Amino acid sequence: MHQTIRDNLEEFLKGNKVPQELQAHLDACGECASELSLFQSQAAMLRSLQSGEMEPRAGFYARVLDRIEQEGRSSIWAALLEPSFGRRIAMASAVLVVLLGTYFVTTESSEPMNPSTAESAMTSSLPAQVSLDQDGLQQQRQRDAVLVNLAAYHE
Amino acid sequence: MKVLAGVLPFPVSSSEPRVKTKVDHRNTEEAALVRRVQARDELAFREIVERYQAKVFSIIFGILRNHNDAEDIAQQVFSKIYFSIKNFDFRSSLLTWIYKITVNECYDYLRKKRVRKLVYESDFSDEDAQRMQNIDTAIDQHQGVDTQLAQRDLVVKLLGKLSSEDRSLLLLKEVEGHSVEELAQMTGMNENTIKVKLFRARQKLLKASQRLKRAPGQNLV
Repeated sequence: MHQTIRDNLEEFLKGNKVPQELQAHLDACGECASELSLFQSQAAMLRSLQSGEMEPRAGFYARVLDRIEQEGRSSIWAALLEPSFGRRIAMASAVLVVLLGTYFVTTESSEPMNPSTAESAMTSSLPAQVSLDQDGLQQQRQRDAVLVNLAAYHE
Repeated sequence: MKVLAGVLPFPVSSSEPRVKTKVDHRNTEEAALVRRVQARDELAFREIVERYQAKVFSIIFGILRNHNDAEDIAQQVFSKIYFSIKNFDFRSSLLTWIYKITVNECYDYLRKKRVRKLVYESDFSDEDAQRMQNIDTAIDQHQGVDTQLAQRDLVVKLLGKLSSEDRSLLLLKEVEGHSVEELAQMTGMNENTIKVKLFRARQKLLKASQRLKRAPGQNLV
């Protein structure tokens, strides 16, 4: 199809009167004429989808509201299955993993593993042992004092 | 038709300067109504339903020719409008947006129906499938008697091969009878873009028709 006809295709399809030189071109050019004819029959086919104004049955708005209510209820579950929701969950999980990883790495690196840690732990437990011994001695002394008091009472 | 098989240059704008009336879809009475719905004003939504229900029904009926399906799809269209109107960006007119939703819903419905039919047929034995095929052929032959019906079915099928935008544009032009200038105003595109898009859509439709004609077992008009 030549440019001149293409530029005015919508005018041709609408059935509007076209300039005489365009009509002359169509009369002379078989290729343009046959393509235009194909586009014209296509347009006629498309127009077969036309239908007159239609009104719905009474109560249509109420039925639309019912449908909205149903859709709203199901959309809570649909939201969970939505790909965007899944992406957000994956993103949040990834961020959480990164944060936890960073936390563990930084806490471990701030307390470096000292080869003498075990020894120091053992030595640090010694004063505790001493304090335990001292408590026992104190209790023994208290018991002795009670016995002395009882013996003195009998006398 | 040889030329159509290749890539054709698109129409250029006419040499005569044309006055373009660009409509600002943000400052219309319709936009005010949309803003009210976006603010969850139920009365405004009711107004939209009442204003566009007849149009939505006629679009659906034009494509499907079935009253029961039209009611169901129309409900779905307005439900979709209710939930997605918050995303309406005023780049096109409300009618264009509703038109596109309606046509898309029709094609979703046709797609689901086709899938259901395939699943249904797969549950049958070979003998049953053969019997069903015979019935389908009989129905097809009956439809072939009514050329208008056959043409309508064919054009619905062919439009299914186009993108949602191309489909809506062609329907708005040919079925609704809008001019290129009106389409430019409705969509917010310029007239030359509309012409190019229409030409491209018409070409795709012709190519789809030719492919369908070449496919074996296709009885086309």
